[in-house]
Amino acid sequence: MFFKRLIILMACLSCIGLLYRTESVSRWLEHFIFPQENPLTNQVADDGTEITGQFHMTDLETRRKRRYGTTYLVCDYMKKTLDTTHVKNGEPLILLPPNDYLRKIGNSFTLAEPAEIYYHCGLKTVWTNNPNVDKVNWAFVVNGKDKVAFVPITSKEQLQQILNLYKDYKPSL
Amino acid sequence: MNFLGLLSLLICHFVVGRGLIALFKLRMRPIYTFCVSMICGVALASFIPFLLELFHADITATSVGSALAVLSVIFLVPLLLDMKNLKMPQISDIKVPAIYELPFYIIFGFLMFLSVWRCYYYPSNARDMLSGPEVMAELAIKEKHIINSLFTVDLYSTNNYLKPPYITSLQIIYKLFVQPTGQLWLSVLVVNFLIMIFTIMKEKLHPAIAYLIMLFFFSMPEVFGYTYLMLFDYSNMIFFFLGFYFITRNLISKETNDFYFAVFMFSIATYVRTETLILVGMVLPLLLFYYLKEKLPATKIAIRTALLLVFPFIIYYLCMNIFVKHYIPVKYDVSSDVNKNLGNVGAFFTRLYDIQDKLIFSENGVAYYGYFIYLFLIILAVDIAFFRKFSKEAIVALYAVVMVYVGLAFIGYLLPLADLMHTTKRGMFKMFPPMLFYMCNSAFLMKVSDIIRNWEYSLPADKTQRPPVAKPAATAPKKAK
Repeated sequence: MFFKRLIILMACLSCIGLLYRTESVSRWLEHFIFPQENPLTNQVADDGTEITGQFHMTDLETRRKRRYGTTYLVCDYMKKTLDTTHVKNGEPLILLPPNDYLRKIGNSFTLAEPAEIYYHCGLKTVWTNNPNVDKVNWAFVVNGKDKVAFVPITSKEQLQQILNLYKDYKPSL
Repeated sequence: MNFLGLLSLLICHFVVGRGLIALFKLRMRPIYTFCVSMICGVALASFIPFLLELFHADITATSVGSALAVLSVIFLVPLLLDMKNLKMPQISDIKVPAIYELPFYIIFGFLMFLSVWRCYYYPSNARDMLSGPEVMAELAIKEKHIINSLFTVDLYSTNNYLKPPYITSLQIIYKLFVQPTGQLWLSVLVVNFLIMIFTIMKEKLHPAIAYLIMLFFFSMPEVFGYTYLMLFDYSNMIFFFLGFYFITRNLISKETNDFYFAVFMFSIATYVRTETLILVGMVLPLLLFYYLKEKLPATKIAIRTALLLVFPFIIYYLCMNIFVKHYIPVKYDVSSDVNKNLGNVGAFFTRLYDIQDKLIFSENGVAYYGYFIYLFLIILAVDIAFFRKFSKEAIVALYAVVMVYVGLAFIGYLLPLADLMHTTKRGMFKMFPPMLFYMCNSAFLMKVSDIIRNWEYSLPADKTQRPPVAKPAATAPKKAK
């Protein structure tokens, strides 16, 4: 019986080999099971082997940074900026540029929606079509491809100028 | 990570689930009892923070922990009363795996480990979560309520806060007692479901065949991805399949309790994704067909029909007409999402066509689901061409596959927001366990299994050790009265 089972084993191994050599499965293995880069954030895995690299970095902050990438960094930047700046008119309310506008100017990243930003850093943001848009006191201003600045809004004229820039774009993800 | 918290929750899930099985008086092999208990335990725990919110109680570690403890004690009673039927697995039940099983154990073990690890390691990243259940759960822990300051944020670009509170509740529990990113409840469901489905497959097919088919199932990139990416669809698939599984048991064993348990499972599936209610309604023709064929009394048929529809509807009503309508502080009318042009049935047929054109027979289809669907179709074609012998299990499984296919197209037609490349693509998951279930009841694969088994054990052709087709896979032999 052992010999027969060895034959079955060889047949199984051949089938496994055949399946894993098919285009779809080998692509899946390469990109998602043994990725050279994190399949979720497209960052290069720390030492080429995803799990062993992760074993050494299990603190929550690192996991969040690795998972959320740019979004998390942008939220962190906003939070740190506001923590060190005195905000007039009470709670900060931040204007987000429409992502279509960011895409139009060739930005390599887009911004998350208000609910997600609130989740990451507890800051309230609004799209340009929000009824409370006149209450914003901070804004993301785009200064060209991949150049965004986080600036305080000091006057209604300044806000209007920014809104005019975005007026042809509908808020979207 | 709080291992003690995780262990306590696992024990709670088991006690609650096992108590529920005792209440339903279900008799199954220990391995099925364990897996179904864990799955049901997770499902019932998911009602705790939801109910606390419905009663305007604070959601804290103390209130949630106490509620879980009370739930465990309540379900411990039927469990203790059922002690005489408590069947512990015996050491003699554990079989040494044959040498050809080892490569599969290594592969499946590694993939399961990877899935659990990623579920633990990566915080939730799906957009549907970060603008809905995940953020609601995170804020609920800080603000003690599911209805919290999220609703003061600009929600123009999302409606994910309208989803049923299934994930929100489980995230609250696991964030409070296990780790700040929660999520590991998904691994509890996935591991138990996969162990169960492995056992079902192995019961009728030769292990080599069963494992090879499972390998196709595992290597569906999209499905495997959702074993660690927290979303509604994998859970929905599990509960929906279990509903069908117990319907099959009911149709074979005629045990009414199997039917009641199936209704419970369909209700949970509806709780996870409310549009499942439509699919549950579509189960009815199958049941009516068999009940009429068996000449069941009209009153019994009427009662069962009512139960099948009423319980999932109650859950739907609780989520959509009570929670969403009266608790969520954003006005939402379900009818606003319904197709305004229902007279144009072309949309239904377009979606039917698109499913097979874009999600199955396309490059995308292979990228999403690997070769699993093709394998199923080949086996079905061989069965039709050469065997033309379909057991009741096989018929129910085929019905489930067709029903999900048609049902998803109907949902897409009824609710235009249910788009092809997201909702339908992930809704397709519900087809795959019935496909597996069909394959383990396929006349062709059974024949091949018999040939291999007879050759392996040098048995004459008529000494096949496989259980007969017409008996339920997981039903323990009944005690003689």
